[in-house]
Amino acid sequence: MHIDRRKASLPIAALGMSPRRLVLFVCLLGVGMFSLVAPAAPASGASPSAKAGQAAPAPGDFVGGEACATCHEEVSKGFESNPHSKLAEAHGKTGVTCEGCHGPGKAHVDGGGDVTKIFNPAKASPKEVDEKCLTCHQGNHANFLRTAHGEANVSCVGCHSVHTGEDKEQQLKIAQPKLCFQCHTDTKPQFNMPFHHKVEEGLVKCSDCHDPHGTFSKKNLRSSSQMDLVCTKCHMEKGGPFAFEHPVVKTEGCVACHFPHGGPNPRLLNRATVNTICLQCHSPSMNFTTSNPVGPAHNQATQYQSCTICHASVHGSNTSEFFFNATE
Amino acid sequence: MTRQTEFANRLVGSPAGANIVRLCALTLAAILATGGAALGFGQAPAVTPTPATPAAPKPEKKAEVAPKKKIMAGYEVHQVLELGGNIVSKDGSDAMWATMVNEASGMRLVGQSLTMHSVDKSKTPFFDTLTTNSFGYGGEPVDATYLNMSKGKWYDFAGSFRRGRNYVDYNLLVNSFLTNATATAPVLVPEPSTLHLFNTVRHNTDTMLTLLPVSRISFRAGYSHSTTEGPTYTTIHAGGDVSQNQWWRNGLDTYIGGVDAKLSKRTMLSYDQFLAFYRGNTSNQLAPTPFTLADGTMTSLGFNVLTGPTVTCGSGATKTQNVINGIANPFCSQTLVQQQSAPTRTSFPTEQVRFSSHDWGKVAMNGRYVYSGGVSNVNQFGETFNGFISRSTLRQQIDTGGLNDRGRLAQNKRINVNADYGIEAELSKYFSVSDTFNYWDVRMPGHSVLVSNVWDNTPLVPNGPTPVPSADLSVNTPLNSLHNYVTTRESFGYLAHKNIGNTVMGIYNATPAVKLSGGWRFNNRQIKYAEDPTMTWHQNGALVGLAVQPSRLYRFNLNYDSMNSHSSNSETTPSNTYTRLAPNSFHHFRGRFQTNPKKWVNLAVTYNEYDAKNNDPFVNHKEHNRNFSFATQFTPIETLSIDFDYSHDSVYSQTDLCYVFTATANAPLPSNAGPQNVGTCQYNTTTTPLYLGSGLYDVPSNFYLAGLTYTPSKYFRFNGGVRIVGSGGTAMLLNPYNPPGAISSTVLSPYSDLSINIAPQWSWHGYWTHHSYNEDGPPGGSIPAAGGVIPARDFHGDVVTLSVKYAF
Repeated sequence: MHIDRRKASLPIAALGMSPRRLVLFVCLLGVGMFSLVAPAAPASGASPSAKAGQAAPAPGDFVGGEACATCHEEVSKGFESNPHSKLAEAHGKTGVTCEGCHGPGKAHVDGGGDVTKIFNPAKASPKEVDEKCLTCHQGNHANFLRTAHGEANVSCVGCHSVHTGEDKEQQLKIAQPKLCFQCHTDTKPQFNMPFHHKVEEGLVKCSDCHDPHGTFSKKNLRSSSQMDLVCTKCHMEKGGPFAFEHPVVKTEGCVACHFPHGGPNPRLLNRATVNTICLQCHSPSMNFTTSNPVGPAHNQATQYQSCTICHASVHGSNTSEFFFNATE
Repeated sequence: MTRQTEFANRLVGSPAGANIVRLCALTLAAILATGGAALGFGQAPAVTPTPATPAAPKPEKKAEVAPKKKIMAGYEVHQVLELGGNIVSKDGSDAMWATMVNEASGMRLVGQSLTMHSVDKSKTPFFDTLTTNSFGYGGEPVDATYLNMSKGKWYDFAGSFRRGRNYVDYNLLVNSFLTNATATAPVLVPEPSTLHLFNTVRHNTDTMLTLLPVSRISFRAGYSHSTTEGPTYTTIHAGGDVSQNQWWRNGLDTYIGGVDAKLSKRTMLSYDQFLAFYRGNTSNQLAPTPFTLADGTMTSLGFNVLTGPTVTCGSGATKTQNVINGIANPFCSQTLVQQQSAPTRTSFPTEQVRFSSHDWGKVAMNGRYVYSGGVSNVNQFGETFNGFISRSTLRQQIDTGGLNDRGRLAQNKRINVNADYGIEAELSKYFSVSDTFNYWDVRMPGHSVLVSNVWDNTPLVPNGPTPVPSADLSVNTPLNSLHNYVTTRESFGYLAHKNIGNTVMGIYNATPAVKLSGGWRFNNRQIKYAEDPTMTWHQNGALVGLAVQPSRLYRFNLNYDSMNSHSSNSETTPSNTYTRLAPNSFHHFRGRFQTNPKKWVNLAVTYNEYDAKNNDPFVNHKEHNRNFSFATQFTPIETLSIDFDYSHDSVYSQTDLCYVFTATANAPLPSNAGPQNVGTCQYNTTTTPLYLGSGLYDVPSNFYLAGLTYTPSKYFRFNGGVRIVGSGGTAMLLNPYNPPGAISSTVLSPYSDLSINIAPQWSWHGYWTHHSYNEDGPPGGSIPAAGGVIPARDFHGDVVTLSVKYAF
């Protein structure tokens, strides 16, 4: 097998495989390796409540929601307006209620309210909570475990509270954006910069751009309905397609030139002046073919101070290959 | 948090009273009142649960005083209405106040909320639960309404309407700075504002109806409507960079239909159909100017006029200054008419199939496939220029589209094929693996035909008019004395971007409290633009993660990921990235710590560091974003809560760049100007020398928030504090008259909020916030005596909101 060491940054690249076969090979290799090295599962150290949930409960283990209301009256009353209450109307109104999430309650009742005999999300591990919630919500949140929040053990109850909580519609403990800022302390200041998306003002929500349950995209970003960058949901005129595309907009994305949350520069640009953004690419270079602006017309000392005075349609144009507003 | 979001959080006010006030019904949205009135059912008695089994010991503690319920038409109803007004006082830059704050005095609907819960679902057929809340109507820059309705297993409905005004007049953006004006030749046209001023309003309406949400098969139907509309300024290159009035008018309608089928207990298959229709109706025309021709016809000399009246046009006896007493010299380049209409209609039909399954115990997988084929047509295109451009001798040009006989200018397509697949497998109690595969392929072919009807003074053509002597050419030259001809320009565009990636992760649950993860990410990236060969890069990156959560009181996360990008074939792909500003390697480290060790204290700390570079020796790109931040909340006593947040953010970037700078007496070469034609600038292909610059951007900023909330009794609540954002940066500005502006500024916003329950169900609310923006640098512009100084951007102002809230 020929190995081209000039091109190989990793040994794998030298195998001459197509990317698709490469991916399949690595997946199979990874699964096989882990299977070989993973030790036999020791005796379970799971909590009693999790143990109780693991074995299939018998019908007699369930006591019904009315029994729960005997002690947990306030919670039960409040549950009537809870979106989860619609589960009770499923299957000819014999659908699940409290015990659908907390597990069979007979042992808990018989034990005089023994808290070890019932599943309590507040005391369970993130893994147990995620498994419990994803039993029903896996369909719409299938990416959760593989993405940042799932891997970080944030767990469903990190943000949601079924029985209490400020945001009743989404069952959130507190509403956006305050909920998100509790952990993302580095993002909150960006929405207080001179130029920012109006999240603190209530116009935009974190979940407008990010899906906290995960997506297949980086940073849990959503896509627009036309499967373009989520920015084009509101900034629809920037999406094109155009007769004359500005490639960097489509290949590097909006964040090549803009801060997505906020910054000190107008239009959320990531530089103080437009010109220093443009000249990053539009400078002569041995390895890049982007045209560079030269000549007296682009003298930075004259009145033509901003590239976008002339090249105003910088996101793409149907009229001018030079991204002028007019057809010249 | 501003008062808008704070109100939205407080959905329930003081306990409902006994009397129904007619005003409460009239304030509801008409549709809600109609829906409620149409019910026609009598009040159902409250349901009393009967004990099923002998009472267990230790029943949970009940609320001290249960508020009386308001039952109307079978619903338990809670409403809150807050009406008031703003009193605004400000000084300083009106333009920056409008850009950053945009508050004005006037009455306001500060907030409104309504919640309705059915007390007997069998007697309320239309909905069991309805919630709606609104804020900001009456003049706030942001106002919104949210509506949610549901009826058990039958349907869920969520809708929102949001409106935001976007005013931008930051006068350092797109400003000429009047560098050639002098004390003896001052500016003719001041430039106090940005040349690209924006004053638009954005409306977003989103609705989604889900039918049979808990059934084996459920259906979704949604509609979204987004528009952006309003006057703006823009600029046109021809005729000396004239200013245009641009009426921004774009809209996007999206129709969504979907079906979810639960094939088994934990396997779901979904199909979504999206139909997105974009309408672009933005048009522009010449903005009013202060100059006319001798016959009174309005004319624009463009921002060229800012070079000062030392510019002369014409020859011999006609050679005079470009403007004298407001009358333009007809021999100078100028624009009498410049208008464009390019209606754009784009449709994006998109199909999406998704599946997820967790039926095999320890294995979960999900995936999706998407096809989107968008087509964009620019129909009935028309552009007209009438004036005089001396450089090209153009006197008039009328453009239309030539793609079909109805003036279509362009037809462009966007074809997107996307496939993703993910799988997680729990191999044992300690080990699990996951893999995510992504395929993304978008192609954008474009086709345009421009037909131009031109009148200019091109050289003698067979049977054409005799050229007008160049000395006699002016904006007054009759069209019939010029050469008139038609040209057709056909253009084909093409951009394709394909990305195939895979991420494999291994997760080790060392203990229930400690989780380690590690993996590898690979991307194969291809880009083809126009006639260029297809370029290909391989990107490889490592991912490492640690999650430690010894108890509910503490959580600690560390994450690291990296990326390296290399050309896969140096012959067709000479660079390791597609653009000079894209990094070919990055390292991203994030650490987060949250703790709630006692009930009275919360603490969250974050360290986030992103370092990237493009080490091409002729690019020398480096960037980083390093943030350290924390947020704390103390509640030493039940009635007092103190918050303190701090963040330090360091944003840095540099990239070798080349620029032209011909120094003048008014615009000397900056002291930090680099050498000429060296480094990457040695590849200059022209005779104009290029200076090498670093493209430096180094802007650290600090954010402080201190606040306290004091609630000594149920009648009184005080919330006050201060926010400070300080940026102290430097950047390469190229233009010696360009001040640092907002990169060296302070935003100060103290606030206070007082709420007093003045009577049962009534409360008075007073909210004050101060907005202060100060820049450390000068306002900017050229010689003050030449009138070239642009207005300072600092401002200070107070907004007081007084309101009365009634809960019922």
